Amino acid sequence: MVPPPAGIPLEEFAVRLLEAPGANAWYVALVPPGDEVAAARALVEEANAIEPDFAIQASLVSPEDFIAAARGAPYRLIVAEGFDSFDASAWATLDVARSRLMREDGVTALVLTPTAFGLLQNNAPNLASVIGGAAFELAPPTAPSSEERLEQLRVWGGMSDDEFIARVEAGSIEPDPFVAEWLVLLGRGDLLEQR
Amino acid sequence: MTRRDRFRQYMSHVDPATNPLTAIEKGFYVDPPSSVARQIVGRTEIEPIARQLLVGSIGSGKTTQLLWASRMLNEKGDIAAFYVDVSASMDLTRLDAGWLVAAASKALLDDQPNADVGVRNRITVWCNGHRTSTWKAEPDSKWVPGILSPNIRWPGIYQIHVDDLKALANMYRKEDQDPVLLFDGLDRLSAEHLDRFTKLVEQDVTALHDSGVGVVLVGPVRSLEGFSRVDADHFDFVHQQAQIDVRTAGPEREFLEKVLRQRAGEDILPLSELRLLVEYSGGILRDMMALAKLAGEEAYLDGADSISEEHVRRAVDRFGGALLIGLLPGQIRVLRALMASGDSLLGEHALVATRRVLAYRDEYVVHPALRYLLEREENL
Repeated sequence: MVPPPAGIPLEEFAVRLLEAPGANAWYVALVPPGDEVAAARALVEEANAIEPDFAIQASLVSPEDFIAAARGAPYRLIVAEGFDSFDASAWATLDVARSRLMREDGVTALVLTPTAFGLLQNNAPNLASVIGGAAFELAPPTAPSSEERLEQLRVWGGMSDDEFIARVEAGSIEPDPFVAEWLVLLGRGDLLEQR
Repeated sequence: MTRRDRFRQYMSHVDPATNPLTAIEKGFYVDPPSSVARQIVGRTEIEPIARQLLVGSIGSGKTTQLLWASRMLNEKGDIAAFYVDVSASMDLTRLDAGWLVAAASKALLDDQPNADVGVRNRITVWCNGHRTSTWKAEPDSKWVPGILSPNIRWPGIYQIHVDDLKALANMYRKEDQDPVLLFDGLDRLSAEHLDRFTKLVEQDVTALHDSGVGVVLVGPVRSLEGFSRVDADHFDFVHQQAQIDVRTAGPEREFLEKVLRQRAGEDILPLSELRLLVEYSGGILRDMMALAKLAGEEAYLDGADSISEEHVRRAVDRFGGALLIGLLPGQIRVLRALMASGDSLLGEHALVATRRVLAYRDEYVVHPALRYLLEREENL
């Protein structure tokens, strides 16, 4: 079999969701069976930690639940899980209802096992077309330590922690979820509030 | 504009899930070489009450063409066109005869403040439902449908509803306008509901025609694999939104390049990367947008200022990987055979319906993003 694209850390996936600018953006997080609820919860927590009141978790039992969640959520991001009970017919129902799932201004992330995503691809081709390949396998929750993550951020930003803090205090660095994460890891979340 | 703002703007412009109407309003519409919208407008100008069917694969731009046709028809002055996405407001799994007549009546009624009160009340009750009793507290009172019996030509629709629509259509004709309804969304009907589509075509399309209302209908995607002649014969014209073959240079490929360029400048999406995205889309407009968005995300997260070939490759890798999930070993063998020798689909038509295989005019080809992934595996 073809190896799947390398998994990405949950934090990076959360950033993709936060940065999704479209009025109606769709994403899929692929996780192992049994991890859907925990992954959805972690994603919501991660997103809300960076941008408060940004995300909500939707636990689904039926296609109708999903339609109701998509149409009614006052949050920008809906992280939906519970699709493992959906059979081919349930996905076909969602496919027919695609227009009613589209949101005016929001991001929708489905947390799915590969099996559930396969059912979506095979039975909901219209919905699959809207998702358009934005399916990301989440790396196992062996997240880098704080120091490892800080080192990644230093490389990304091309500066040391001190230089970074100085630029934030001077207001010469543009707001960005990575910036927020960097500040939080340095214990300088207070600078977020000042901005 | 900051780097972040530039990428956010780019990604919102190429978002595959954006409402096509929004894209048109932003000035992103590019007229394709053999525009279905222009064909629909041309046919409607000659015969305003023509019954027209539009079929095409998922993501090929049918809704955009329908919206554009509606806009052009309304600019003519003597045509009143109404675009209706049936699937947006109704549950298609409960589709039944009368739906299109009801939706057409409602669209015309909403536009006619001076419609007869009786017509207005009946259509409102029929479309929106009503209480079975004027007294909220009265239990178990039931709806009595009236003394009219169903018409034999449209047994699922009471004749008076068709008469009401005819009365509304006549209001337009008195103002030298022909009403035309463009119905979108019925292409999403799954195989198990295709008999209901047939019922709709046999009864509603006939009733709309008799009411003097022109109809343009988007039909199920399965019709690409051999539309039932019984259904097709109920239409005066069948338009096919053909798959754009991106393998050779020409006006169709240039059209796709223009669509992307309209939304993304050279500074963020250089020409060579733009052409790669067109190539790997296989000619499917929505897939091209999805790939462009994924490539933009890769570039942004990479800290780059513009999209590089490597970002496109990563986007293709991810897109192809998504198409791969859910395939059975036998289907992968069919794909490999198709790649190797242009073999037949061996009955695996689901591969076309799910975009793993593209139906060009004269042959089937594996979606280029999936092909990229399968070829890479061979070389490992």
